[in-house]
Amino acid sequence: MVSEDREYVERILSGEPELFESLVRKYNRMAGAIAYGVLGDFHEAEDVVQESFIKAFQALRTLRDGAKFRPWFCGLVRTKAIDAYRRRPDRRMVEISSIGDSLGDAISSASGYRLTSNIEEEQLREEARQKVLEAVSELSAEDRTVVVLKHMDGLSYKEIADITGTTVSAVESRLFRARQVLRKKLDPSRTREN
Amino acid sequence: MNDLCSETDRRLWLYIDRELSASELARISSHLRECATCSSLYHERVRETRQYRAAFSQSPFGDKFVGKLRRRMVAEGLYGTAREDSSAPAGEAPVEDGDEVLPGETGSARHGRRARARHGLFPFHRGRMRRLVTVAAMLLLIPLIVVIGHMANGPTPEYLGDVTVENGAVFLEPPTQEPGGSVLGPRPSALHAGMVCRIPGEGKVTVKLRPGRGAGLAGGAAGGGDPDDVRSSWITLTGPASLSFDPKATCNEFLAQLEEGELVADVAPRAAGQSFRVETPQARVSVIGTIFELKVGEVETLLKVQKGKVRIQHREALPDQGIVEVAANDRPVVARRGESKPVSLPPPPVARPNPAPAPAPGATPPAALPPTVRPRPAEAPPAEAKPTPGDDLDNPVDGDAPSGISPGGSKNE
Repeated sequence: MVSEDREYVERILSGEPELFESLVRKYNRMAGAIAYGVLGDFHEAEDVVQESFIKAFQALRTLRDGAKFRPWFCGLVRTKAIDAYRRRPDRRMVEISSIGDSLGDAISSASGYRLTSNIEEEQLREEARQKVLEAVSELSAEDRTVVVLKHMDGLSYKEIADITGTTVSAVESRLFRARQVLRKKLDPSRTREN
Repeated sequence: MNDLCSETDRRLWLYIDRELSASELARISSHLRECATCSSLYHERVRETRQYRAAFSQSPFGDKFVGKLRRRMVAEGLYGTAREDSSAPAGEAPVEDGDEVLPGETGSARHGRRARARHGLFPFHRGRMRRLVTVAAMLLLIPLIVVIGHMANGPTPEYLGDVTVENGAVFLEPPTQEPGGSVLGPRPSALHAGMVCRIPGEGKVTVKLRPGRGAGLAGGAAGGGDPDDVRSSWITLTGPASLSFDPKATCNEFLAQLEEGELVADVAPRAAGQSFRVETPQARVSVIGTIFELKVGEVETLLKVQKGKVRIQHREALPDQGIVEVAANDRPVVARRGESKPVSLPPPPVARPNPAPAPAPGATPPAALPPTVRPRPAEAPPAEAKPTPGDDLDNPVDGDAPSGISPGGSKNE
């Protein structure tokens, strides 16, 4: 996989810039997880990841070893996400999708009599999704990053450890703890752990 | 609670996340099969995993992000600058945001390009501005769309075929904003592009794709001597499963996303320009005319071809890279996240003592086709005996996961 990145970078720099899309396809979820981990907001995370890819594209020739694209790009995304966080006027950590809420409200009110059980089911699912996102956003930035890298990008503990600069056992215990917290928040009636 | 229960309890997340060695996986698999308490806890954890995954499924990342970024980079003329940068004199300072000078570019043009790169079309913070514009546009557009929808009743999505429930509870969800959709009954239901077929638990449906039909059910029945059967393709979906039919799919250019579950497809031969594709979280599968099985788990997709040839490649591979052709009788192929191309499974370590056991008295004799595949009336079924779906698929990796319980929870939910 690493040598694949080297090949992509070399070919992009030697006249096939469109191949950059392969790197975008490969790493956008991972970058999204890192940015969301810092910001707790998908809209801002998307902006940050877009900017990061553009910056990476422009600065690609400064990368001496194409095989190191992933760690280099992860650092870039993290830096940009932290910058975006610092630029926030109120330093808020979380913004649960207000657009999604207003869209749901608008559909409900505009097509009230067409509200079928199917839409209700979808609303319930959306509520459940928002509840989980809210719980995730209340985690610490480190815990959130690990949870998102695991569940949004499906990475292994080793890959998460490489990205976050920790050890596999640290990832394991952080993930375990974060899931324990999430379980308590999402279903307080379930007290059993382990 | 015995020692094995304690160990299972302690290592359950590692088991679900597939972070254990093959022997540890086997030990816990075996225990889960025997211990109802631990099995119940396992299913609870798998449900949690799905809950988290579902929450992130609405993230803006994935294919839509790739398309959006491509449009932006093309619009800003960025594709091409890397090549020009690479020809810059050696020893030049590292490129910073907007620092690069394109050949022949004037100072004001460079200033404009830098401003566009930083702020897009608007001289404001892009994220905030975009959100504001999006909300305003939605507030204006949604009532308009609803009114137009009421007046024109909207365009009818492409009719694909019929869905027939074999057993279990099955939901057929219509495209967004279309009313209806619910638990399917025993009669065939019309399938349109954009629909999602969900089987929350044990259950099975058969989908018959009917090319050339206008809309709605013809004759109200699937199969049974229909002359179209010669040209029809069949899909059998076994739950728990979720299969989304692409909004732009047609019978001739078929595309569906299998999020989870087991799928068996019997695809009618395709003419030039026609396609039949199924995507999973890990792989893209395209066929010409064949019978194949797909089984999707959390981290891998398993493909087994029964007839003809199938091409499979990693979901994120370039169109011409990492393609593996799988023919009938080849070993099953597995596509996993993080690998560059799908790989064939190794042969089982120990040969089975009875490769062709005689059927038990009173048992149904083995069919020429798997029970999940309907033979087309106008075609003779293949002569060779086919493996039963799930025979080798139950445990794609190490051969020791319990039947019905696999790490990642692709079953038994």
